[in-house]
Amino acid sequence: MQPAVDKPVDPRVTALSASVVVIQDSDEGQLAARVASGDITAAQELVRRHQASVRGFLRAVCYDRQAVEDLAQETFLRALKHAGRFDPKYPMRGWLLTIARRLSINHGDKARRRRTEPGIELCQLPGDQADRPGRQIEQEEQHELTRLALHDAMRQLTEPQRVTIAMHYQQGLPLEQIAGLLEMPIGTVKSHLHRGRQRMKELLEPQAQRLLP
Amino acid sequence: MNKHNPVTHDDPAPLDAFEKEWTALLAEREPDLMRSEDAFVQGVLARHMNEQARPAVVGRIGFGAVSYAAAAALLLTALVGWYVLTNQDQANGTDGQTIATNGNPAPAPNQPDSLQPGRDTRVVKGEASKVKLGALIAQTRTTMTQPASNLTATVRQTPANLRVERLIQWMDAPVPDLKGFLSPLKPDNEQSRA
Repeated sequence: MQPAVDKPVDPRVTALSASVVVIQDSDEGQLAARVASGDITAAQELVRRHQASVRGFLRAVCYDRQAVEDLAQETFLRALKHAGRFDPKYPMRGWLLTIARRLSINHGDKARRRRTEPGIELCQLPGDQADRPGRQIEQEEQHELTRLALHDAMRQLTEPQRVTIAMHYQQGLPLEQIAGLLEMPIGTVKSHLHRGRQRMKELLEPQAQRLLP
Repeated sequence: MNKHNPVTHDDPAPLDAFEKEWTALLAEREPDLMRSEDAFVQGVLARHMNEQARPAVVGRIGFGAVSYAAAAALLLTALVGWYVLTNQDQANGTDGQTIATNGNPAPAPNQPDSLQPGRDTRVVKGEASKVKLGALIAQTRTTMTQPASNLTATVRQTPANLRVERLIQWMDAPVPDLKGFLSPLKPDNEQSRA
């Protein structure tokens, strides 16, 4: 089934979304201002605070897993460079995820052309296996395989479906905020989420017995 | 008539047990990301500080633009160099001697402080030709831009003054009687016989 075609963004919807997602976070605003003034400690704090979200998000939405770390670095470099443009009325995480998404889209076409076997690096298990009992290693292997299958399934969704699912179920952002970040009506966000969930079920359920305990 | 579409209007349906499993896994922080957190932060900061350390002009207009400008300047220099060298080659005579190099003749290898003997003459001749040519062009331009009535009689009669015209007149003229003129030129043996 094809996803719903995105209609042009209704300014009223965007305005409504924006008004809903306004968050007064003076701490993030101050942090961004310090970064903009060249404070390296503030830059370090910003990266440390948000790196897990951005890297996790990129792992979920980026087609080329080999490029995730580079794209995450590039996301933060742009954020640090343009920290003065950050609007403290909105959450910084959303701003960072928007930058990450744009970079991922730009990178996506190239990655699709030279399609590689996805998730190979995830098959590599932690190096300190010798210190853990066999049962624990087995469980970790199983866990990694499940995660691998999950990311493979995510990669088969359309880009808006991937992004809405990652933003809502991974990052925990409310739908109104996602609509504002993606600049699309909330109905379209719901549609992408619905179809994405359906597709994930189709892809994952046949493997459920094998993957999930 | 607008139908109520539950997909776009209602809140998303609650997750079933299976969906809870995979969404929880998706939200879970991956162990390798946690392990590499410090390295990642340090990597970003190092790159950020490198970018800040760039010259202001590079930071302002972007590294790419500066690269393009540098490449364009290099290309321009190469083109100018090629043009100068090409002109210098054309100024060399067939015997390999330099006739003139942009008005500044280079000294010969074995005579660094003086010019080669034949070259001075050629340069002077070349300069004289330039002057003549310039005068001719100026004269032609003056003549061409003036109405015919303003031209001097000499200019109007230019065709009659041309040597070709004179040659034609000379060729059309009747051949003179040369008998009397040629008689003294009889060979000696005829004269002796006579």
